Amino acid sequence: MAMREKNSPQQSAEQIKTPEMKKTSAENLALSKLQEMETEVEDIKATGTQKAYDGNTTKKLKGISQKAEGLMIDTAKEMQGTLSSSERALKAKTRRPSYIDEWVAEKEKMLFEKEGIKHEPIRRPKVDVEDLHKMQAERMSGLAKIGKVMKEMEEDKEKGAKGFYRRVEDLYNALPDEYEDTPEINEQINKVLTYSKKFLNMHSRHQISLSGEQVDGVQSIIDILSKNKKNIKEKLTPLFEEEKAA
Amino acid sequence: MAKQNPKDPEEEKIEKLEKIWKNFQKKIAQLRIEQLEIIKQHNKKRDEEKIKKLEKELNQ
Repeated sequence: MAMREKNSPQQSAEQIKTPEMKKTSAENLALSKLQEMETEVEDIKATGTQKAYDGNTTKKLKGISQKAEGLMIDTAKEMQGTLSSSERALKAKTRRPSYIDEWVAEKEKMLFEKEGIKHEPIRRPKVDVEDLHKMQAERMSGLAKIGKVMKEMEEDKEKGAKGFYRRVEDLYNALPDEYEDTPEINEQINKVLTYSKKFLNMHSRHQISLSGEQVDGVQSIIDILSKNKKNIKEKLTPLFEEEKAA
Repeated sequence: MAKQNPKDPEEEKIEKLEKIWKNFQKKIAQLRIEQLEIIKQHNKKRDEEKIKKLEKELNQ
C-alpha cells in the first residue's frame, strides 16, 4: 500500500522537481497570478478581434487591449516588488524571483516591438556599467517614438496626463543649445523633474493609469533631467525631431 | 508580559499579492465593461442601419 502511494503520479512529479523549482508559496502564488493575468488579457484581446468591426470601433478596441497589456505589466512589476522588498526586509540572501523578471521583460519586449522600438530587456540580476550604457543608448533611439506616445498622453485627458508633454516641450524650447548654468535654467529643469516624479507617483498610487510604455517614457525624461545637465538639449532632441519633420 | 506574535513574512507577502491581484481584477473588469460598451454601440449602430435599409426596401 505504502509502495503504491510512493509511486503515485503526484509524488513522482514532486520528486522530479529540482530545489530551484520548489518555490515558496508566495512566489507560487505570484506565478499562478501572472498566468491568470495573461489569460485575462489574451481574452480581452481575442474579444476585440473576433469580428470585423469598422475603423473607429477597431481603434477603440485596440486601445482597450493596449490598456490591458499595460495594466498586466504594471501589476506584474508590483508583484515582483512585493516579493523582493519582503526579502530585503528579512535580510535574507537576495534570491530574486528571476522567472518574474523574465516574464516582465518578455512582455515589455513584445509591446516595444509592436511599436517598432528596439528594446533590450532589463537584466536585473547582473547589470554592469557597460550594459547600462548600452541600454541607455537604445532607450535614446526609441525616444522619438516615446515622444509620440507622450503627445498622445497630452491629448488623452482620461489619463490625467494633460500638460506633461507640453511642460517637457516648453523646457526644451527654453534650453539654449549650449548649456548655461544659470539659476533660471536649473529652476526650470527642476520644475519639470519634480512634475515627472509626481506624475509617476500618481501612477503608482493608482490615481492615474498609464501603460508600461508611457511609464517608460516618463522614466526616460527623469533619467535625462537628473543626469548630466550639459547634454539635456541634445538628449531631448529625438523627442521633438519627429514633430519638426512633420 | 505576553509576547506579541510577529506576522509571518510569507503570510504578509501573500496578503500583499492578494491585494494587488484584487486591484488588477477590478481594473480589468472596468476594461471589460468599456470593451462591451464599445461593442454594444457598434452592434446598435449596425442594427439601426439594417432596419433603415429594410424599411427603405419595403417602401419601394
